[in-house]
Amino acid sequence: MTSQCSLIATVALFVAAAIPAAAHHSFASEFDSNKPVTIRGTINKMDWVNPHTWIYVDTKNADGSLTTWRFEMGPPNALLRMGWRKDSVTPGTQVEITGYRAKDGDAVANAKTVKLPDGRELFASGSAPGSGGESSGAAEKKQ
Amino acid sequence: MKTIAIVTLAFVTALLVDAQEQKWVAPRTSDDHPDMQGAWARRGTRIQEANGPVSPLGEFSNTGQPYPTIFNTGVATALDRATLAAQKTGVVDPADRVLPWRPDADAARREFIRHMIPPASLKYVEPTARCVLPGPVDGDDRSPFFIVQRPGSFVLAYEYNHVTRVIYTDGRPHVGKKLRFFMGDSIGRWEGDTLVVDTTNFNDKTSLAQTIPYHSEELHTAERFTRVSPNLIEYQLTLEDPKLFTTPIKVAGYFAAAPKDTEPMEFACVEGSQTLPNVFGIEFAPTR
Repeated sequence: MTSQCSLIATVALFVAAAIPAAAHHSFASEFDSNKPVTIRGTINKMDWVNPHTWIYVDTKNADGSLTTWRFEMGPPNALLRMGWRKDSVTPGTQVEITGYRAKDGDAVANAKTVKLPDGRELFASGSAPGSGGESSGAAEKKQ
Repeated sequence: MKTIAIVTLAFVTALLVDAQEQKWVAPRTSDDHPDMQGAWARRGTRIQEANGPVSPLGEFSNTGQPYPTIFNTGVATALDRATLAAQKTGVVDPADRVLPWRPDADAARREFIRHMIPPASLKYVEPTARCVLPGPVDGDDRSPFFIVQRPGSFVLAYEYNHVTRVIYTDGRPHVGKKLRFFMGDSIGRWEGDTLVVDTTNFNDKTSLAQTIPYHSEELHTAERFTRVSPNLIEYQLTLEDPKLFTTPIKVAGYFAAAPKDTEPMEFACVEGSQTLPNVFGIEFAPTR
């Protein structure tokens, strides 16, 4: 609780400071801010690799076929420090992921949030605005 | 009357606390220099031009959003807060942030930027997306920095891309001019309680900002580290590159203490970077 309180206090302090972020590389090199996407499906797997973790989600198309989307998230270090653990999501978990599609139009996107079956939302800590990678120290979005 | 007394008492107390904290002196190392060891978060050290070109890289990157991020819980005292409130960040000289570009160099970089998205070739892909070491300014400020001091050296270890800068303070000269490094060759000296770091021998393979996609090998930097409060190190970076600018540029920022339990983790950028295949439309790597 103490650490949560200090985190909140610190967040408040730095909101006032409003310092721009510096990220690993630009969001725009791969992703399109004009193509927001929301995918509902089943976790296939999650790769905890640098410089970005990847989360794979199987989703059913209208014709019954299956597409595996892959979402780029923040580096493992950032996810760990934001409270993610390797068992935060496991294969078979139903999720709703928001993000922005890749420029090349494939089933690839930069994740913003991952919504779990119980309603909790985890920030993806990537380069997308609102993902927590730039703007928040809290891993879990308040409902 | 009672209200006035309470306000007066609060004011006097604040003054006393302030006066007490103004006397704060940095702890010392065994060789009697300010002890800056520990885990830190770098803040504000960015070059944002007042009238630079619009970079296609800028979209959703330096958004100007508040940046509390993951490491700042060490900033807690009244002195820290007062110091931060007075702290300027980013380009502080020139004061209007209009950089002193040489006209031909300005035109060349504007033309270069036009080819960065989509990248005309590998050289137009921003260096950090290729896992290149960050150079003097670039990098990922979401990752902590670690300072280790010993007599004769000051080590600045970046978690980001596992960069380690050993800054010798034992009076040695720079290495020979033919040697070129991504992070340059750094020599330090103490001016009172401020560490002054002179860095030369850069290669020309890193960038300075999204609007400054490269620099020359003539880049020369001077950094100043001063621990000014329990959880803050004031930081100044002066850059000279006579092939780009007619006069030096000064950037200000700071290092804020990270939580006490912050430990370095591996950041092996090369491990699974998918950026280049994504940018160039190459088939995704098979399952690892």
